[in-house]
Amino acid sequence: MLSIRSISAGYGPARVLFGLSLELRAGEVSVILGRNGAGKSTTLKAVMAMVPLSSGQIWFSGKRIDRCATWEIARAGIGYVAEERRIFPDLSVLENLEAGRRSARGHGSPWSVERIIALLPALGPLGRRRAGTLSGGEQQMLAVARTLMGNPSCILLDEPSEGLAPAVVERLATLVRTLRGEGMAVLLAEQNMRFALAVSDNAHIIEKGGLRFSGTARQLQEHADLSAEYLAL
Amino acid sequence: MSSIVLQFLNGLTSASTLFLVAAGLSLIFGITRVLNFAHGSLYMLGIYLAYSAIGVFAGGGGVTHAAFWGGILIAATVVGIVGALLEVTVLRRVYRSPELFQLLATFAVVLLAKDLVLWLWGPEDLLGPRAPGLGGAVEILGSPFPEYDLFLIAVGPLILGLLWLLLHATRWGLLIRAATQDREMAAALGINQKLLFTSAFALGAFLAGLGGALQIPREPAQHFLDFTVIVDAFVVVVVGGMGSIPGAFLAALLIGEVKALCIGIGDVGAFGFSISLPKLTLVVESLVMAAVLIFRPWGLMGRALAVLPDPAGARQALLEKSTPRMRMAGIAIIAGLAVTPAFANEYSLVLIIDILIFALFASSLHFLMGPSGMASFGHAAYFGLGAYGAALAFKHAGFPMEISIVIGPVIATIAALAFGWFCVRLSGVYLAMLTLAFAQIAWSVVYQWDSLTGGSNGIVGVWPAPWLSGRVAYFYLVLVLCGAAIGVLRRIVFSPFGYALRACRDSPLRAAAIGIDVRRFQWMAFLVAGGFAGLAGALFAFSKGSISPEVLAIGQSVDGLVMVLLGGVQTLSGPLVGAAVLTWLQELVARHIDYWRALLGLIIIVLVVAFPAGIVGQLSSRRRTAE
Repeated sequence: MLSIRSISAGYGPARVLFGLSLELRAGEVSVILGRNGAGKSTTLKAVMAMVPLSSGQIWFSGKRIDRCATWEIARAGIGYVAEERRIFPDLSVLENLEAGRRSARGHGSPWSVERIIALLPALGPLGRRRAGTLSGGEQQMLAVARTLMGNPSCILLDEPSEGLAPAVVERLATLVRTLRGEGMAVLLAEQNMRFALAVSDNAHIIEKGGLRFSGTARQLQEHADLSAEYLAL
Repeated sequence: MSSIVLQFLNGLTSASTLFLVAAGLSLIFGITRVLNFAHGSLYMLGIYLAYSAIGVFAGGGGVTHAAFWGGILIAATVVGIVGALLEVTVLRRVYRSPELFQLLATFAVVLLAKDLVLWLWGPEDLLGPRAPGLGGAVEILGSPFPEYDLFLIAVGPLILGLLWLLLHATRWGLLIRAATQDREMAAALGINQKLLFTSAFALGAFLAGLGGALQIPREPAQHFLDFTVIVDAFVVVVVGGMGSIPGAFLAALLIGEVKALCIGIGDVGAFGFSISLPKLTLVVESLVMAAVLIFRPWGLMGRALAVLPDPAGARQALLEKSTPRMRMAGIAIIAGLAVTPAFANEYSLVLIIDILIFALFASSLHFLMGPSGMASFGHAAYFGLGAYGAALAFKHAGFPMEISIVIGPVIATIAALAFGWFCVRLSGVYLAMLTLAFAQIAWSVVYQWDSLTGGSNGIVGVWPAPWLSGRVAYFYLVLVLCGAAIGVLRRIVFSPFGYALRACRDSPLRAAAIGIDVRRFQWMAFLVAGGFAGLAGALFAFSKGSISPEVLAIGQSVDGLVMVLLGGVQTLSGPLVGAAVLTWLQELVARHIDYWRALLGLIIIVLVVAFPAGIVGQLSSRRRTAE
């Protein structure tokens, strides 16, 4: 579904990714693990064309997307939840959801505010609140919900568990499993290995902008040496 | 009493107009983050178009309702379309460029629009017809008040209400608000920004055009309205808070009333002095802005601007010390200049003197904008005060020229000391606007203090001492002083003080954490920049023999900005190249072509689109890639 083919990318003169390749299939949850600065976020941003590629290609659902603008990539069906959540702080919760709304492209049942609130009941009573006044966990749920309103078939989550209480991380895990159940492909960038491996089918370790390991989540758990070497755990 | 009430109503009338222009400017800035210098030109275009459209509709006969209101609507709509075209053809190409470059592009549009208006409508004031049915006056407290002005008073709140509905009750408005807060994230949600930007620009332009067109029964269409209006609109937007429409309304009321009350109160006598408040509206307006910004740095209803993600490469490049090769090139240029009097004619010598003086002026501005990271829209204040300081010391105080040329920069430094103290409390666009406000204050004081400065006539007979009176002798004086000053500025950039300034620019918090007093260092940067600009001004005064308030007008500040941005803010040689190119172009183009402003505007647009990092910046980055 999403195919990243030996991309190199970076910010101005600073290169971050060097010939990185990844595959993500429909209905699959994959996680990118790596230390700070390894290139996890940059990989997701490169997919969204928020970081320019210097070489390589990115394909999505049989179409090449690495020359598209960010909004075109989003409309093609890739949802993106940013690292710092980046909800619109001066808009209400409902307005945030409304800003993310896009008509469905005919796979699965489309998302609506009612369905979102059924899935994330915590957002229900917050509808008219200014999003900037929500707690970190609420903002994270809102960020995911806002992206779902665009009816993506693939969703990129950048460090969703960062800074959240364990109970909230637990809810997040349930949410990711639900999305997978809906047939959605999910690509996570994470540092929280326990959370990541609990929800993922596959895992990739990147280090200095290149792939060091690719396999199933189970394989990674069995290779304690890998985690020690690349993740300093 | 009744005169105060009438002035209050007058204030409301002008507040309405101010609001229309400022609301559009604020809307455009909020979403595109482009400070549209051309907004005043769009207003001016609105007046002229309304004049012509009403004329055409009315034919030879009387002005009917349909002709008048249809003309106004057509004028505003055409301006809206012009705005959309502007966004698509020019601005869209520079969104990824640094902020100040976008400003330069919009300024080029100002030049184009000015000549377009002169070409289409000629230089004379054009007086439009009265509004049918609203041509009379009503009696308020025994005095007549124009009906049309009452109508205008109602227009402001009406437009505010409509805009509020548009922004809060439509999906378009929701997306505009979302993109204003985080445009990258909005794109990641699939929002097509191109359409959003173009439509916001068109709406903003429409409002400016409407603001202009509605003035047609009140004031004549004049070709200098663009600058007057843009300064007022900037002040309103900054006082209200960038991007806030209700803020713009509040600020328009405040500014409109303050100006009206100044006129209403008239002359005030105190301590044997008589101050004419009506003449000082600009000063008062600037003071209000300064006061608001000091107590509410983001304006009345604004908030700290979200930091935009750095467009690739827009980050300030490292300044590099000169290589031996560059040093050789520098020496060669100075040596070349030193022998020019041997073969250059009088005319080229004058041109080179101008270039040298402006190279110093641009370098001093660059010191503030580049290494210190503080954009100044009012650098002419120091240049002009340096010029006036020197001229006044020479003519009025009777000092010899050699001493006067030192007094000028001292005066400029003192001004920088005072203005800078306030400015360093702000940052970004707000800081830039405050520098503009101070420059406008300085300009109006010089312009209106007839008895001391000669007012608009300026000061004449400012000639160098006999031993320097020859063109060649004066050329060497300028070469030595400007060369040395530019060298000193360069040394300061690579001194510990210069490194500290760059630390303050790149990360004020971290700089403060390692013990740098950020404000104090930035304040010192103002002193340095102001002092050297003052020296350039003093040299300028004696090279021309006369000066006028033009030397500290907004046009002079803009020239400096254009020089720095044209050459590239990221390099030290940029301002020198920019000064040479602009001075030479102005001289060359103005001598041979009637519509030189339009040509200059076109050249700037081409340069901005082709060299998004400035001429020297682009060349050196190309060299780096080649290596």
